[in-house]
Amino acid sequence: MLCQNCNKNEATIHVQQIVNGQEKTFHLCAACAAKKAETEPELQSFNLAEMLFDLADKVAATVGQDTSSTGKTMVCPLCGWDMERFRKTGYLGCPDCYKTFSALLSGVLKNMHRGCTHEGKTPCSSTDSRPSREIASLRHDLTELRKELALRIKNEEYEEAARLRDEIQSLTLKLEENEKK
Amino acid sequence: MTQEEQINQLFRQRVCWITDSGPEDDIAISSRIRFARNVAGEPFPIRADDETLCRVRNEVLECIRGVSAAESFRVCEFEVDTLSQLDRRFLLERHLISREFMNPRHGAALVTNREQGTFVMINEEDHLRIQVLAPGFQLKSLWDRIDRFDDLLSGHIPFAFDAQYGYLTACPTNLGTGMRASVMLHLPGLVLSGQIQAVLQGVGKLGLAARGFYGEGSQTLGNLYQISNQSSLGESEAQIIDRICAVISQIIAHEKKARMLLLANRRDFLLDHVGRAYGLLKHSYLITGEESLNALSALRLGVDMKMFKSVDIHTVNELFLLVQSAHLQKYSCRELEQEERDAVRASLLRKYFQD
Repeated sequence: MLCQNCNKNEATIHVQQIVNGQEKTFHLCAACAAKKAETEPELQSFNLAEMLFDLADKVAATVGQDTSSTGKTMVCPLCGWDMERFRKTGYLGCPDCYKTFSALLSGVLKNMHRGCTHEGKTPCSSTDSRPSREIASLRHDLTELRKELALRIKNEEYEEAARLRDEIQSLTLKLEENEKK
Repeated sequence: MTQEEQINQLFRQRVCWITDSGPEDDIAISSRIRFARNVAGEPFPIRADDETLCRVRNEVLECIRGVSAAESFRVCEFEVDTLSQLDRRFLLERHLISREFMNPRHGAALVTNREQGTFVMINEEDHLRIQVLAPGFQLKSLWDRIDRFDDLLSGHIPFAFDAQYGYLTACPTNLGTGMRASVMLHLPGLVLSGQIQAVLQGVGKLGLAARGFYGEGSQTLGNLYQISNQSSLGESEAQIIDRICAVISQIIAHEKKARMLLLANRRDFLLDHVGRAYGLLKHSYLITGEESLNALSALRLGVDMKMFKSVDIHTVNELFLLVQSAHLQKYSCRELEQEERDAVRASLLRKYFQD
């Protein structure tokens, strides 16, 4: 369908509103929607994330949870991302935000997905290739050491960097041996 | 080799999903699967500072180098934020980067294999966007490929993962599997017979999304539609792929039927549509990108329906890429203004259809 305003671009924004029994419909391309938003209030701040949150709020309200008091002041302790930014952008700040905002997320996720629990693969999926705890911790240590190595090199602390390099080498060998088993 | 030279090499390199044959490739142009992954313990790109993004990029690049060396496939790396606008546009036209990467952050990178069938965007919306692309309709074989590649990477990078939510992504719309599987379909039969809106509405009701040529938020061009899953949590990857495959098979069957009905009932209309497009491609001196994509779509329909013996379907596929603005400029080895582009495009097409 073409944009009803310019008749050139494909309409990607479709808004239908019924106010006092009067129907108003828009089929617009993004550029025309932005222009029209100046005069048509129903096109202003068209934001999927906000719409979903409004919906989640309504769902929560009907089951008696008050999200507005718990949610709006919530801040992720790890990255400092807050509810307001989540609401505005639709993005979370870090993996830990999923814990911080879990109460609000459940409502949002219900609208987005076909369930609220992961059913698919896991990192290194098949059980026989799942890394043992030791391998996982070795990998974790290696990642940390590599981070520190990069930092030391950046700060030109070459003696410490050399020590770290050797440690990384020996851990890598250990990891390879473990992986072979 | 500089990045620009690498881009020019990619320009000359064969693109597997354009030149190779695949199942149902008269209607399904290409299949694609992408996984969204993030590094555990790091803020998502939207929240990360430049330093963190560069550190994540370096870690991921190092890991991909290791994995690709072990698998002995050769990769090209690009720091997307230092590329020219033209080179970024070129990568977008190749579907190697998203529109979001046209305005990249510091630390944005792309790694791709030579045939451009396996590639990773680093620091787009998520730390990693792992993608695989193949000609025709073959999501299941693509799944095997990306699953294996993802396992190899996850052996070296600790991915952010939660037992309940699955793979943790910057936007909750990608949560769970982090997977989006899509097929690019060429549907001129359904468009010409006026059934496309009904089909797209049906697709929406089945929980799938239909997008335009360049993915999210883009308009449809050349009767090309990308059909993909909307949701990623609550179903396994196999279930999602089965669901998409069932719908795609049906759309392909509808398109075939629409083409046959057009040929049987509106033969002159169909021949006229294809013939005019061929005339336009063969005799124009100025032709816009949109006009040429629409004409190429009609020509492809003609080739699929055996109206042309001399034109090969892979040539039409290649032209779909070549007529786009960055490709044209790479082809002419210089930057071109709008009207100049239309002239160069027309001359390129005339040359292709001379005989």
